[in-house]
Amino acid sequence: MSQLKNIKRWFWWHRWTSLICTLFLLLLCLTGLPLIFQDEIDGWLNPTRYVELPKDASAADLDNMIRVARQHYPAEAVSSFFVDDEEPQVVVSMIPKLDDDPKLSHDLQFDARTGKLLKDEPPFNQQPQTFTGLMLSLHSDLFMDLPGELFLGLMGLLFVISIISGVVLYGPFMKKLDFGTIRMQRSKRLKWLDLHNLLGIATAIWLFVVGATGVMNELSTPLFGLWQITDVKAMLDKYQGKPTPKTSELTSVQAAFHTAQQALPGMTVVSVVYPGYPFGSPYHYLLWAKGNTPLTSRLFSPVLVDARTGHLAAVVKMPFYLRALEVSRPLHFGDYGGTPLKIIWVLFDLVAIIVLISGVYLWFVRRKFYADYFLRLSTEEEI
Amino acid sequence: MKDQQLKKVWRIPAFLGAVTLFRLLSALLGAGFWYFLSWFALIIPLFVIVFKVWRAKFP
Repeated sequence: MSQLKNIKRWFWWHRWTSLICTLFLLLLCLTGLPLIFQDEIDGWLNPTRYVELPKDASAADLDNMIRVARQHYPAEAVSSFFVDDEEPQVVVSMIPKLDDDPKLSHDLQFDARTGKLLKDEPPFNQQPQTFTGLMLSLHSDLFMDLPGELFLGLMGLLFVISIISGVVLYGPFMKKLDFGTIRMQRSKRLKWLDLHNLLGIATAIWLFVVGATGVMNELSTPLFGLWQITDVKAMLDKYQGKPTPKTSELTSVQAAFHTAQQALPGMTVVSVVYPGYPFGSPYHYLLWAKGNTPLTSRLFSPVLVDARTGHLAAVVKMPFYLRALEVSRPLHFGDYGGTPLKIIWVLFDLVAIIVLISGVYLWFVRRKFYADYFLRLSTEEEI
Repeated sequence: MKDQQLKKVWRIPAFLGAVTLFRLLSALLGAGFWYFLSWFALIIPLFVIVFKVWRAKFP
């Protein structure tokens, strides 16, 4: 009898973890569909026209772009800028005061080769809601920032448990059946149960990987917070008490960019955070560099350059939990193997939706069915 | 469960799982030919689903 008891226990876990998370998982699957093509949709809805220049056109001076940005908003501060490695653009972010709410910041888009200002965007909190922005909020935090992220992370954790328990239940259930059996003729319930099992087991690893990496992504705020109050704090402690450099004291950011690039051969510097911005260092330019292969392009290395002297201060080593977070991003987004991989992601997502809905249906019609199933199992055991 | 039965139940699911894992990692670690392999590996579980449903509908 103990095996039956065991199965019943797994069953209890499968039923309740699934039921609690299903509604939210459906939302995640539906909003996730357009997000797979987020870049394409955004580029299509809001295209940037670049002037035609030869491929090897040299990059414009970053200090000049920063100067132009400051001329446009003399009372504001530059918080960071982003040097795109896919499109020829440099995006400079400005904010009224460095410690203001980040939602007040706004972007100026420059052509990376001519240094010409292309677009001057309004602050984030005044921009109209975009379609993909709406989907992303529904997908990642339900408009509630950290509490929403943690809540959806918890739902993801339940989903992962329900996948594991589902795989455990698959074994005893299929004892008498060939793989992929779908009993179409007998009852609607049996048909959907067989489909639920086939679709679930065939996509189990994908569901597990995307579920687990989704949970990991929802933890990014606390994980970066942990890093800030441990390693980052330890690293910056020796600069305690030194004032943040004024704008007039800042050394050339183009030179800092070059210094960081020299320190990390084989990597590409993609962004610079200005001293005094809460997401950086009070005393340094913080530069983020990434690798050049499919895997290492997901691994970012921070570099600190003294913002007064321009000397290289440190190449920072990321802790294992942030490395794990970085690797889990592409595995969740499906954006690391070109368009075919994205299409495959869509197909798996659709299968996941069928597994979820059929699971709810099976719960609705459950009672008599499972009584019969457990009776069958127990008579089998007695024989 | 007896060995025989264990093998029968899990042979194909284990294969599909291994294929999926291979696909997930190969595209992350390589480019070019690896991409191609990974797309191919990824389609296998979907193909199996379509095949089984098709067979059940039109035996």
